[in-house]
Amino acid sequence: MSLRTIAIYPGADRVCQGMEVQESILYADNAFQISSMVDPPGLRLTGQADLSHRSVIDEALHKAIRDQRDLHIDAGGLTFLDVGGVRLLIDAAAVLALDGRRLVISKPQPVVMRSLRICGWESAGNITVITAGNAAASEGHGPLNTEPQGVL
Amino acid sequence: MTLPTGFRHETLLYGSDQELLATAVPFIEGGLEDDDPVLVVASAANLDLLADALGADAARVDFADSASYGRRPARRIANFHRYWQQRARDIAPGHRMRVLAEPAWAGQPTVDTLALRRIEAGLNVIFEAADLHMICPYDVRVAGAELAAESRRTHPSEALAADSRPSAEFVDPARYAAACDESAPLPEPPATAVTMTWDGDLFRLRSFVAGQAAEHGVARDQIDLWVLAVNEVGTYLGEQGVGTAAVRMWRVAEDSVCDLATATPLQSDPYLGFYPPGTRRGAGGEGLWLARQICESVEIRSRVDGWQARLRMPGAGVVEPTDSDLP
Repeated sequence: MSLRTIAIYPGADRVCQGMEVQESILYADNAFQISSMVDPPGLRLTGQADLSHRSVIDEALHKAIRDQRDLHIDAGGLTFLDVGGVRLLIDAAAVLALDGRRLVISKPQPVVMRSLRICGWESAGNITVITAGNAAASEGHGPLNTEPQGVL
Repeated sequence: MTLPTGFRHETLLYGSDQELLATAVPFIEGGLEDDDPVLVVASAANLDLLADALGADAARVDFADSASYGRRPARRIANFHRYWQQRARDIAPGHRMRVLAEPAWAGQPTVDTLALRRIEAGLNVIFEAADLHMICPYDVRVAGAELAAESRRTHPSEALAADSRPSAEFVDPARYAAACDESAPLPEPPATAVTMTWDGDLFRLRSFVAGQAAEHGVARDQIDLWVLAVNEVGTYLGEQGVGTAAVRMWRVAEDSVCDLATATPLQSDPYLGFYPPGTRRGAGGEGLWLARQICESVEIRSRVDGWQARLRMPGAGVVEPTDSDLP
């Protein structure tokens, strides 16, 4: 898909709100959309992601990983993410870890945060989650994390 | 030389404090002598009893109350697994982590003894690869002689004061689970159940569940989890190539119930969803793991004429203790 310039969606909580940035829509259906982000480099996920989107998410992540920098996932507009989707993100983080890069997931909504937590995103070690409420990042500690982790 | 490792699972039948201590204390102290991690999960009364008997050594043991460690089997497994992940690196080579795990049913009417027996058998396969020595004390006075004796069918061996003997009554865990399931067929949904014919569209499934859950009075943030849980069952069906199912929802007491039934037979592992994520058998079952963590219960029936899952979500007002302070 060719790169094109689109306006930022109105009402969305964006760092560069009101500006125009280069984004390309990689995938869209009635429920879910993937766009590529330029700055920071990565993917913007919007809507509800389930089994029917697994292959398109997988493909988008594989392509995005080729960039040599940390991979950013803007999850602010994501309202549903199943376990399979979280697994793809954790697997992508494992690939990024091979050359010391991080996966940065920003602004996950509470329902998506729960999926991430239940699936043990912390154990990936190189995933940073930036929550919507503040800019403080929480980072994983590796598989032998000594912090208690709730399952819910 | 490599010493034998892997999961060792023993029952301990006792009828007095002295009988419990005679086996439990040497077991715990044996682990401490080698600096292996030791976790004791027991009733409040037994925690006091054991701590007194251990004296100063008690400070080196991790203690947790059976009631807060997880009334539900899925929760207990998650807690055991978390402890395992945190402490496995502290096990000396060729050694096992030691866990004394008193079942949670003691005196608790809400605990489902069938689910408990079923998962006691399941632990043998769920933790088969873990260097873990687990002794499960059964108080014959509380559990009754029948339930206590049943533990010889779910544990490959029985711990005795200074010894251990193989249990001749031990049953293959998969066969045991099948027998449990046959003994407890799922009741027919009530006439008031609302039915949706699912065509494989998970978006529609989620909308249906969210709508019914609201009707059932499920709290707002619980609805999100409820939808997530049912979606994972639908996902499992989709991954197995099943595109149609009858989905029925109804309310039981304060709880919301969802039943998904397909006429397509599926050979599912009887402990599907109980294998922790990241473990070998856990691969592919993470969605069901999540559903089991979320729901009050997830009952799965695999039959020659179809496959059925029945999930139950607590309504408003049910709060489980947080596990943030647990070892």
